[in-house]
Amino acid sequence: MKKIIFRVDDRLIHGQVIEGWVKYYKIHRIMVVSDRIAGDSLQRMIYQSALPSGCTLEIMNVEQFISSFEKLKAVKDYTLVLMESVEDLARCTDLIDNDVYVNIGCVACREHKVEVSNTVFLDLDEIEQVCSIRDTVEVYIHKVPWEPSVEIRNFSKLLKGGL
Amino acid sequence: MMVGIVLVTHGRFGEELKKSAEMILGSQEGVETISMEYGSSLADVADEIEKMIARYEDSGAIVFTDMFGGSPSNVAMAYLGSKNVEVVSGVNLPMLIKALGLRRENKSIRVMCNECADSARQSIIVAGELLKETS
Repeated sequence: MKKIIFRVDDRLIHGQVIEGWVKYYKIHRIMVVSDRIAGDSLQRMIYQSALPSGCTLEIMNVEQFISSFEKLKAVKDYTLVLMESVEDLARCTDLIDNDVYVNIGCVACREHKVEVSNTVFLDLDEIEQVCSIRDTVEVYIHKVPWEPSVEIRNFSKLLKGGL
Repeated sequence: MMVGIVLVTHGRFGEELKKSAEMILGSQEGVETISMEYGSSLADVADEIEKMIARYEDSGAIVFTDMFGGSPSNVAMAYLGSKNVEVVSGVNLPMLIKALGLRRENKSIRVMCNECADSARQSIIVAGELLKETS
């Protein structure tokens, strides 16, 4: 596994992250990147307390994350970067290269969304954003580490089929 | 009116837990369940919790969640500031049964929650260890 894992997960820290990613890769460092959480002291407190023991958590908005990314690349430990939406991931497109593992874990179902997997539901804009990130690196649907990851290949079909 | 009990869990665990408790104690009023399934949105779950606790505005409510740090628990904790709401994580059958019994005793919600947590802790027993102690 690459040292920096970007994960889109609208639940941020939750069961799959705690029991899955953190334990499997012995991750000590989590970053929650979200404008919404960074500006909400109650939500910050909740995610801080939800943290598995032995982990540090940094919570920041997307701008702060982008400007501090160079420092992150120098760190040797695994770092799990959690973002709430494909849109936030797309804002970080310039940071993504082959040293970053990009996965989409959970995106809730809403109106006008297509079921990409049993945990991931995307709309047309999100699919286009993922497609453009995929021009640089592969993007995987990956719920928990021990389940097979699925590379997103069939999007052009979804796009052509109309949503 | 009795304190409301709201079970918020991964999957249908809460619904089944309620049914299991009812097998033992008979049918129960004022026990609500919210299931977080694959594809559920956090906002929808939050709305449901809000609706449920509003129903018990006068009596107060205890929200039981299955695992601290899991999303049912994270979402529920946002309502801690609300009047007369407490959140207890790590719900199991003995804990729920304890809560259903305590509801008749007119205790404060915080006291109820502490007693539920104690009862759940005490319910966890490694049977082999128990035998070693008694032999």
